[in-house]
Amino acid sequence: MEAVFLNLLNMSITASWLVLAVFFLRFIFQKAPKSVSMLLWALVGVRLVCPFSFKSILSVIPNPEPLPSEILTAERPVIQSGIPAVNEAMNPVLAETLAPRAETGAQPLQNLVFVASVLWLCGIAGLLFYTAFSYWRVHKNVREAALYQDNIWLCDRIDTPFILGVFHPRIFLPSDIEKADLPFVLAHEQAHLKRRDHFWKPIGFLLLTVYWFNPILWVAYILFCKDMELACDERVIRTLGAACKKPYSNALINCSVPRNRISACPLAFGETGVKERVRSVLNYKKPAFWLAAVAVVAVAVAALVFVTNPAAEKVQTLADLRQAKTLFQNVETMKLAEASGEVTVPAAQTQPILSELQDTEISVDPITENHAQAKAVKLVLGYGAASEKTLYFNEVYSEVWLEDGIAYKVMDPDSAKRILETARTAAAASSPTTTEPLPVLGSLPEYRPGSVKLEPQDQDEFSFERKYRVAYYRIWGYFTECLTEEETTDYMQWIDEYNKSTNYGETQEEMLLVTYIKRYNISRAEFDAAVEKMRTEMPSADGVIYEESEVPNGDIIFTFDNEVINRYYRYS
Amino acid sequence: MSDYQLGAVEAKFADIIWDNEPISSAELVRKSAQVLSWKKSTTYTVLKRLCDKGIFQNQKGVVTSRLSKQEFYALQSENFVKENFNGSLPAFLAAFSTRQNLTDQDVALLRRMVEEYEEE
Repeated sequence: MEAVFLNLLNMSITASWLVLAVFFLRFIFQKAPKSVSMLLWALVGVRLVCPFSFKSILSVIPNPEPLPSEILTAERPVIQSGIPAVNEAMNPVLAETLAPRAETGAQPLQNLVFVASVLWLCGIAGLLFYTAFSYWRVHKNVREAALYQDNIWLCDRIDTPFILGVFHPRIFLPSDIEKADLPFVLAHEQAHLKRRDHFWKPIGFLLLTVYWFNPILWVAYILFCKDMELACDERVIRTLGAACKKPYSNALINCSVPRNRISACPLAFGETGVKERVRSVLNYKKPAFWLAAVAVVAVAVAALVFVTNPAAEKVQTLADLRQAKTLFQNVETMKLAEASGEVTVPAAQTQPILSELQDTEISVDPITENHAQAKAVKLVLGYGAASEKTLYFNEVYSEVWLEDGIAYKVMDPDSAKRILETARTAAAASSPTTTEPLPVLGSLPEYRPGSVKLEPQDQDEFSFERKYRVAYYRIWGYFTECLTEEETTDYMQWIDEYNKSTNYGETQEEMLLVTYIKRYNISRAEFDAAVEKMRTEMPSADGVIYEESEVPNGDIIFTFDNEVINRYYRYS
Repeated sequence: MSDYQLGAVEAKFADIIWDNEPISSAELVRKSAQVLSWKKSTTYTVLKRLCDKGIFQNQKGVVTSRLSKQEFYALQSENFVKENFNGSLPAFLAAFSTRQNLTDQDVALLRRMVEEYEEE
């Protein structure tokens, strides 16, 4: 039941686009023959009845299935309206308020849809009951009608001429109808019969019964009935000629005058004001050929554009997403994390890669959950002061997520792959000495910036550029024991020169220890051993200052307290 | 009784009785079918109604009048209350035009509009 209801909701939304266009076209083509309007309403009927349609690139329907059927079962329900603004307004709200909650077992969206479905069925039942009841009442009234001729009956109990019956229609006339009006009333009703209105009008009402929840369609039905009457009037005038305008109008007036002043009923549902009809009849002119032709063309265009479904998916760029506004600005660092490990993209390449990324084309509509694959690649953007956001891609770069977990389709996965390839190579190029990342201890606690209390440092005479997270530690022999003699000499030499050239402390790019580790490819095992040795042999590590900065190779971050080297954290 | 006005169709039926009384109910049914194309049940329904109104009577299958045609029409009061037509037409039926909330001025205006119209 819910699935059917959702389907109908979708069809009703899709049809509403067409209906709005029809409102507009009717207004423009007021002077065109009313049969053109009826063609437009036929299009609406088609849209409401057929769940499927031809695909065409000319279609302006944003998305024929704005409420995907998966919305009922998804952990993260999304709508695919085809309009970016609507998606971005509604999807976060949906995820927050209507997503199922595992803890409580609540399923708010499913409940909502269930209740709505039940209400919908009740509405249909109510309208069907009204239909049956009013039909029965009319039928009762015409039981005592007397046959006049053919299929025309006279009846005491009715006060307006009408047609009853779909397959064997009968025309009923009030028994006190004016003789002068008779031919014109009959002409009008015959016109209804020729146009099969006694069939289309109830069909239209039946559709309205099913789609009763859409107010636009109620307006559409009222206008449909109005156009139908005017079309019949036009047909009569056209057939009988302009001479019949006056007597026809009089017949209209006579049949509209309230019988009993006290109990005259107000304009009931779906009725056209007699003033408008009289005016329309009097002013009727055979429409210019060109106008009729233009109108028909307009109908054909409307059919092409509104009755067909879109062939291609709607696209936007990453930069168009509302979240992207803050995502791509003020990015200080960029890291690429995959199963094989994590690398940092050097600053010089960050901006160009970001601008290419911003222009990546993605779908306007998010991917529904059961089509989305697993996240495989993470692009972490750092904004300084320990804040960061992440962009995710799946393995083949066909899907992209921003932080909120709503996935979009990447229109050109190869292009996205290329961009990230560029990032990867740029990152690799900036750290040539480490051919492989230092091994990582598996079950380490994750380092959270700010989790270690920092001791104030005497740095007045130095200005450290804190580009990297590392422990500043004076190199003791424990670490130089990791080196061969040759390497040791080389290292000492390097220190001297480095100190001279950099005026150590003023503009260093890296802390010495880090440089040391990278330069001589100190393995994790060696490092740990040296640390252990230092820990045992040097209980109070005089001269150790710790500060938070970042190691280029994120696999190791060292924090030390003032006394002893105690923990390593995996920085992620 | 004096408040009851016969509709045109009912009047035709009443005429059948007045013109042919006394008439057996079977014969009445036959004649009604012929003139009005009424079913048997319809004939009996209307007959009962008119009998209840005191115009006719059906005794053992023979229908006679209690008021003659002249008597009946003479009794019609001037200010009869027209039978209330129950409810407006359902929305799904095709009609000509329906009774609307027109004031006397509205109607006068409309009639004038039609009168003064000149075809070019």
